[in-house]
Amino acid sequence: MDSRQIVGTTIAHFRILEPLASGGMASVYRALDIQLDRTVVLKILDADLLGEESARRRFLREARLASSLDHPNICTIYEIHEDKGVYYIAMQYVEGNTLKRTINSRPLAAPALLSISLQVADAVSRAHDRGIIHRDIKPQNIMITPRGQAKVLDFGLGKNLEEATSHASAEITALGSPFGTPAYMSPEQARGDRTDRRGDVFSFGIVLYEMATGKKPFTGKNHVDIYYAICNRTPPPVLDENPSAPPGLQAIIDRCMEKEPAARYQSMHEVLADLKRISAGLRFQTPVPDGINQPFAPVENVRRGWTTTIPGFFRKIVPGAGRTLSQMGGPAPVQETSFEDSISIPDDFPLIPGMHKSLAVLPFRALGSESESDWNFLLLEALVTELSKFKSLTLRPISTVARYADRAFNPNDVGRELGADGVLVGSVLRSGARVRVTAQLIETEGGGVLWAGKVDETLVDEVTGLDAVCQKLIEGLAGRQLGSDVSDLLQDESEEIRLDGVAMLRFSHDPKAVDALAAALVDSSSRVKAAAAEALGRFGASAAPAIAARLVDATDRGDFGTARFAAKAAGMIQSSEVLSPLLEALNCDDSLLASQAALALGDLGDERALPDLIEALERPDANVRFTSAQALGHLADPLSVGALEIRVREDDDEGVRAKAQWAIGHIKRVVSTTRSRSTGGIGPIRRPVSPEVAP
Amino acid sequence: MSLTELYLGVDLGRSTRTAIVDGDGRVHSLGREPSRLESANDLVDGLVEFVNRTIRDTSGIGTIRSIGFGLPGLVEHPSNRVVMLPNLADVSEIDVAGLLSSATSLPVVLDNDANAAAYGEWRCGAAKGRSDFIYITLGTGIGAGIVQGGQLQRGARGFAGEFGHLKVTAQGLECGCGSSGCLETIASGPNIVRRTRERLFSDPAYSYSALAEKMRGRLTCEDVVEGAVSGDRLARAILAETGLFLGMTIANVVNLMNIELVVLGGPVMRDNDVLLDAVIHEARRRAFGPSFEACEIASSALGDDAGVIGAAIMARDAIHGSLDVAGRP
Ligand SMILES: [Zn+2]
Repeated sequence: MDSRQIVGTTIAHFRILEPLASGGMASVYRALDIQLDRTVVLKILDADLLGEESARRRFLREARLASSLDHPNICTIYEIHEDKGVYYIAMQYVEGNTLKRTINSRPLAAPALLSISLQVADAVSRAHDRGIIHRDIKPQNIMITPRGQAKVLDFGLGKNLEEATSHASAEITALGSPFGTPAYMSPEQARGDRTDRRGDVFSFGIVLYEMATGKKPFTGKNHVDIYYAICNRTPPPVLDENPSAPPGLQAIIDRCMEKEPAARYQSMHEVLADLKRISAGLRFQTPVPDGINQPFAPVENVRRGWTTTIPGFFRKIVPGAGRTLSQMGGPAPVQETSFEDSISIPDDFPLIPGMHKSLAVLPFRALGSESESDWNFLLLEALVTELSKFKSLTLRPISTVARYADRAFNPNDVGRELGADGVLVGSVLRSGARVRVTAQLIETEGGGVLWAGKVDETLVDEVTGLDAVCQKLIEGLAGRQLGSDVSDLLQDESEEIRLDGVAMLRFSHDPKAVDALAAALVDSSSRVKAAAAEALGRFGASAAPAIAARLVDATDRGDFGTARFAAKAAGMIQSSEVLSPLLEALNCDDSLLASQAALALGDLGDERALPDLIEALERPDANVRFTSAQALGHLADPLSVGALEIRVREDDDEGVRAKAQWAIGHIKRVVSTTRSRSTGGIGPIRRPVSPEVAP
Repeated sequence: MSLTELYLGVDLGRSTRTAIVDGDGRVHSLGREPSRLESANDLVDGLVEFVNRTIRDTSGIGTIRSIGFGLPGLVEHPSNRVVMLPNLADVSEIDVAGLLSSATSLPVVLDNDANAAAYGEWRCGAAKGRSDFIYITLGTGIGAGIVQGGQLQRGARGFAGEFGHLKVTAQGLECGCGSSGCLETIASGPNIVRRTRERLFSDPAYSYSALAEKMRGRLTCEDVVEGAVSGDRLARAILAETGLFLGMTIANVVNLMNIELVVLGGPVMRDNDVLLDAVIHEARRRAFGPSFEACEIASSALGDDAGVIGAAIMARDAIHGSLDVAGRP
């Protein structure tokens, strides 16, 4: 049918809005899903073209499997329909340009190249983990959104289409296959051999090459020439085509494009790891020389745009440039300060006690989906540069702190590793032009939070915004301005910031942290509650009074959501102080709270809970019976076996039966191992170390 | 008018099922009632009573000539002794087949329920005409019937086919059989429900699943399957994981035995394309390519009734001398 004719018509629950493309086998439209009121891309293809029934079934199965892929860089397949021999595949509508158009025959700048390639590599490796091979990776199948997010299209589709046609066209490959894009094929694909994930690695290498040079590595006047080039030729070096391509990229491309699959990267994970490595290396090629207290001088070869704005920044922040607001050095914390006035900072850095103060500023964590690690790194650079101007401060060089980027760390351990008296850690949350930076200064010895603050800024452009953020942070630090209490961060309106605040306190040794975390259990977000419970669990018995109080209070108030997380935290600490609040929670009416309490009692391993747990096996709520059976398994007391056997026989829920069955087997095993170890009877039964939930 | 010759199939589980089949293999009626699980004696008494009642109810349409009896345990051959019945009761001291035979005055063929179901699929279901296949049933337990070279494989004492107790992980949970890490502790119906329930507590992100509400009351494996089909993320995650272990185990069998067909049946597989797809995907990924290409993985044709119909067909073939001890038709 002419694709124009069906525009405006409705097929199934899709109204066809406009044609996007049409190829040999499929027509592609922008369409409106009437049921869900969302724009989708609708691919329509004739099932007959897929060949025999088994091929069609396989197509559907694999497309459905691909539709289970959930990854920010993979275009989601919403649904697949079959109707009278026609397939309708609805997928996420992604606004933006294809990578092909983004490249537009010119090399991409290094940050864009690395950002896109990291995103695509991550997406492909995730799909490979799920056993899904793309087999048609090419710039036309990668969309770039206006915000720079990459989305890989057609997972689970290209391969099938191609396989289906390759049966029919095994011989016509010489004349040119009607489907597929020869320029991006792997040698084994070009030869018509069976391909695996390493074929995707090869194609990805071609895409990398094209991003780096603006050119396709293998070209020819016709398909035969292209196939020949893919199988036999080595493309010109990347640096010949683009001298400013990231160093190290050539090696990655070469290894991706090895003719022999066995000589290539064997998995996309390896490609991803190498890309991350050169990306980190590039990011940390810093204009700030290693060493401390270097006099500031703009360096010529720094990043474009950054040098030009340095003078403004420099003027504002350089020590002694206008020491007008002496009160900033005062000791009393001020709640919130407006930074509309131009202010300056003192020479002395009053926060870290002692004469010799060394400070490590660690890479800022990126929160949310929009944070850019490049910008975060520029912020780190700027902060280190500026802070090193404090005479009383010795800064750890960027080259040594850089390795803490993108990984979880305990600031106290890092402080000790780096021999720093204090550690400045923080996070960046971006949403459009708005940016929120939080930071905490942590004392290495003792782990106290010396200072915490946050800066909100609207970025007019990336670099001037950076200046402002950096200035405010330093003013806040030096003058103990901004919020002076970590618990302020736990009150922030942004869930991400509150989560980050909780994550910070996990490592704190500050006694106030326990109270702040116990307060965070009441947070409206269950993610924050969960993080707070987990953090409290790490404090061990010292958190018991706070947890017990929160559990009792929330249970009494009927705030079962909070009580549940308090019960969870209680299960993580070994303290008899939480026993009686947990027993009370076990006997309350809220299903999930009682269940969580049962689980916690099992983790606690206190045999005084035995009678209540055995009784709870009879509760009308299946969740409670289930978790009580689990707890009794952990307590491993033979006294509970009889009651558990009744569950196995009589419970009308098969999950409870299975759990009780496990518990009996588990208790028997624990008892027999304990017996065989000691001749004097069973003796006290310790809580067994068992796989909690398997698989 | 001479009365039709009929054959009774009995399938013992948490419920007891019956099927009446005629000489052509047509099913005349199916029956089902809960088994008595309080003790081994209650179990057998209840069984005999139900079978006698079924025979009486059939007297109007024909005469029952023999009984085929399948149960989910280890049945010793040729002694016909039930050595182990892990999910129900210990009947090892009771001559179940003999008791049933003297109570009904009919010949009784006793076999493992998965063997009976495999036989049913072989004679009149998804494996008709095949000579190398494995039938796997997933329900309260997991069992299998193996046919190779056109012969039901029972092993040295009749215990072959315990697919559910293949070990699939060294770190696994304790199993009803006394061992640990068995496939059954992951992929049986009850364990699918158990894992679903556990996931709710271990991952709060799933508390929005439609299944969470059901978990206060009775959650069944069917609920999980229905949830998965309608796109519930919790249910899909559980079945995907189930498919992983099941598919991996099937890949082992495909590599080991080079069979031409795997038939998946039992209540867990009912309307369960989500799991079937996951199993096929994983088995393909794990098995030798050529072995996998030569093997088809399909759903059972007789569904939940395979066991009871298979038992009835066994009874029929036994009385006509076309079923020997080796299970050769
Ligand atoms: Zn087992």
